[in-house]
Amino acid sequence: MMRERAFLIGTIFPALAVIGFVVLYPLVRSVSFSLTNYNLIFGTHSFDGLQQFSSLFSDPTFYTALLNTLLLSIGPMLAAFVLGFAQALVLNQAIRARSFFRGLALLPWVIPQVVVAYLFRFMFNQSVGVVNVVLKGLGLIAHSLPWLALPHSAPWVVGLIYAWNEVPFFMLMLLAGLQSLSGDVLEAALVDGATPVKQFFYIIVPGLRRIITISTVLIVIWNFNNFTLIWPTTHGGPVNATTTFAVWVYVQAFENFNIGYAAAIGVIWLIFLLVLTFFYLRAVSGSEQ
Amino acid sequence: MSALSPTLTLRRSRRRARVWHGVMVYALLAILLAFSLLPIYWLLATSFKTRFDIFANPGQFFPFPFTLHAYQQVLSDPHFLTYFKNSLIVNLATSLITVALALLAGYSFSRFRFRGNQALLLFILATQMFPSAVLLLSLYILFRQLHLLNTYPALIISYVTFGLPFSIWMMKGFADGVPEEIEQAAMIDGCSRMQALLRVVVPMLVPGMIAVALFSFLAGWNDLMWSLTLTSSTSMRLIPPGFILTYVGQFQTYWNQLMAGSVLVSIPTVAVFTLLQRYLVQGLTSGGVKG
Amino acid sequence: MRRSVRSQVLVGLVVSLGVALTPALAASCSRTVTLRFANWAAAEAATAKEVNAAIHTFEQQNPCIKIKSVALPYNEMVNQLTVMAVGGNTPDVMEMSSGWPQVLAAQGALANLKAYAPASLLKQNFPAMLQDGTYNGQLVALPLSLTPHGFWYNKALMAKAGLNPNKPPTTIAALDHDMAVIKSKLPGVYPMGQMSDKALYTMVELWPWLQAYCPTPPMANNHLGWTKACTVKAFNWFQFLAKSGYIPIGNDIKANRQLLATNKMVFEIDGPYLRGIISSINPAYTSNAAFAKTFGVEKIPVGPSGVSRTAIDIHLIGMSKTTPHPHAAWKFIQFMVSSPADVRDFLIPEGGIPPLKSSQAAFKSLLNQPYQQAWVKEIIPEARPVPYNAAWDDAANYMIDALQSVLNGSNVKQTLGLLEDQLKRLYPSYQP
Repeated sequence: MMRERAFLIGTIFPALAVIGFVVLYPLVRSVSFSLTNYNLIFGTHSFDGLQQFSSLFSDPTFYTALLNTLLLSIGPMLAAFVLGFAQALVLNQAIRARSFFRGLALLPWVIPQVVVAYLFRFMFNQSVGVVNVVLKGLGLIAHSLPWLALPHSAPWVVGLIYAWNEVPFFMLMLLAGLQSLSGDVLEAALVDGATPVKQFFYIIVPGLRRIITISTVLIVIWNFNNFTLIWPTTHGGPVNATTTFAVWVYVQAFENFNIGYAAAIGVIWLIFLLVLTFFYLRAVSGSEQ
Repeated sequence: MSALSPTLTLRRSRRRARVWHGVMVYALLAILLAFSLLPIYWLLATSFKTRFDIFANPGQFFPFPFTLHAYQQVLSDPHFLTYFKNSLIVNLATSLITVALALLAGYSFSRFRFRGNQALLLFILATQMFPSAVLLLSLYILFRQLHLLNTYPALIISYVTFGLPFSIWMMKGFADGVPEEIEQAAMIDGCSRMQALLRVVVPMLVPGMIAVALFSFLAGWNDLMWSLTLTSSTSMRLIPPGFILTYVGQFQTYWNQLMAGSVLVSIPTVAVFTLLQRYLVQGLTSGGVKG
Repeated sequence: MRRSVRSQVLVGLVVSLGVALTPALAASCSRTVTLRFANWAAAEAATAKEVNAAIHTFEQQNPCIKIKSVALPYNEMVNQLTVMAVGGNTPDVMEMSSGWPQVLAAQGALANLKAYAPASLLKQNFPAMLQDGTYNGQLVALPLSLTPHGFWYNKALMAKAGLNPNKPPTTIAALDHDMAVIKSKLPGVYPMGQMSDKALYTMVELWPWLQAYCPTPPMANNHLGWTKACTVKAFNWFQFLAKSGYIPIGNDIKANRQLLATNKMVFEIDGPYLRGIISSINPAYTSNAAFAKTFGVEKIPVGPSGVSRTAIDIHLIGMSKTTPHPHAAWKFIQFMVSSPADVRDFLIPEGGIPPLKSSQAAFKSLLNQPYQQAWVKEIIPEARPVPYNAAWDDAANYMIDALQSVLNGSNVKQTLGLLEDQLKRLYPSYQP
């Protein structure tokens, strides 16, 4: 028993220590900033109660950023999940040069994200972008459009970049999951005469449930924090059409140097994600029984 | 590759169906990969163009005149190799450490039911739920006091925290799929729990470990803001801030060099993955895993 | 493959240990001072060679001072300097772009250079340029390279459109006329470039036009002025440019330069360094003769305000307030702004105009191209500072939002009214 406890502590502690070392102190300190008027430009740094939160809730940008963050965190995740799952299923087949294709499928994830952002900005440029050339060639548009400068198209382009970048992640995780699913179970299902569709929904999906749950949660959390893909492409514009929390916090913390306000946004973000994740995990594990 | 994959197995009785199935699979593969690869093609094509053609002929699908000029420029810049080397060192170390820590923690979370188990798992995930722009300011001060600025350990330990929470959850999930009887049998034979873990359980977790290794490698590989803030000397810069520094200048963006540099740094990563992915299937063949 | 991966990791561990343990290398000088010089030029492909040559010369002239370049990406530089300042780690000397000195000085990061700079040096500077490095009466940065924007035009395209290439538009009315002609005669060519992406730099191209419409532009003299008639007129004009398809929307200045260099844009306001940028994209314009034949530059066209005023957008250099070596730092700053070697090897090759009148006179032969003469004689004397202040970044975000809304067709008066309200909160003491 003692041995088991030592084993448990010895295996979990190193991971917790690393996370605690890097994240805990800055996290606690940053959360405490949200109760102050810490501002580098005005030189203020004193206790301010919940003042930051009350100005936050009366700031119209807060609601714009909240909606944008939700749409851009969940929408591209769903699209990437479907495409990534499809890729994983196909790349799990016994096809020729399978490892080569798997390597190719991974490419969007291996190109450094900041280059991805610049690549798409370049491709969607009004005057030198290939997207306009192709769409005009196909007769789908009459004139070149400034895709990233129009309020109704910019969020879609940004969503596309997110999704494109995330497909390989889902492909890889689900492929690893598919490989650890046993052939026996599938054989047994076959003997029972299950159709491929039934096999997919009754055996593959439940077998991958844990991986699906945690990958989707993680991508939503990461999308919340994604700054690298969005900043070089739109800077949150036009106006605030693609301003997410990540962009807004960056602007508040690093352009306006309004650290207290940025920390307050961070606290709301933390609470929001915690609640979302908690209920999602509970809902998923609830359906297990 | 004798193991027949599930969907194919279903159809093996009928030859015509199998041919049709094969065609379908390749068609699907082509469509799915096209989505991923068209932008990559554009990146590749741009890297072989002159700067003039990039802007003068935006619709030019095949680089003409075809030039390796951008590659020459990138490779003749001594900083490029420095950035690349730094990124490899930092991210490989990150990857190894993350896999080791996640394996141990994930296994224990899978096997032991203790009080606060669920809360601790959620807490681990929660450390990812705060904007890094705010965290960085405090982290900078902490690392400066510890004299860790401009060092590999600062970057490695930071990047380990990027990938570790998810990796622990993943490893827990994979460990849940390994029946406990297997290691119990080993322990009855005289193995300690650690020996049982390393000798019996780990071989079955290889696919998950490969996935986690790649994930944690790429988690840091893609970061811009942390490495930009935690290092300031050119000799310690990683690829993303190094590329921005070199190719996205004050006055103009060197598109072809940016793309050429990306091609050069991506090739080794994809090559290593292509080699490693064989182990993604090893779990299947290494033992009779039950579902 | 595997072994090399392993050895890479091993190298990494050894190197990281080494970094922690290596003592400072002994130098030839008995007591060497090392200055950290934050700049963006040292890493950029286009400028690295020049700035490193200048630094090398300085080190040879001053064997007891070593310069360590801290290369930061231009777009992230203010933020990074701020983080360093908060962490008590500000570099000793910093290269800056217009607007940054005010932000960094507000945080108390910059030293007052009045204590170091002799009157003889200040007298050689242009007063308006010194103003650009001033915060609350303190001189926190010295002009390093003069690069205010002028009005560039493509003579070949003007001729092709049937316009007189030697008569670029000098008024906004003439500009409107020429743009209409170009739009109808040259399909696929943008008559003009106007930045409108969400970056602070967009303000630099907005300000000359605001000054063309308003005798006192918004934000000057502690007044907001976004809803006055002349500002509304200026924004009506921006909307007209977008609606008529005269300008590409959402472009940053780099994209517009690419269009200019490939003969797809006729007019653009930009700095003197455009000369080098154009020939690096389009080798056809490498020679001075070929360049001068196609590209010309003028003062900003005159608008209803009756004057041509460009906005000051220059490079400056400043010193950390907390540097332990202020005298060495000043020596380096003095070298960078005034030494002939630096002017010859770095400032002029980089594409700017040297900041001192005396250097401009001494290096006449290197500043004899028509475009350089336009800067020395016409553009620099007419340049005025953008009213930068500590809260500028915050304010500029609202201004860009207003510009983007107007370009996307929103009601001009309403948009500017909203902007005025937003800025009123940031600048409570300002008059409307």
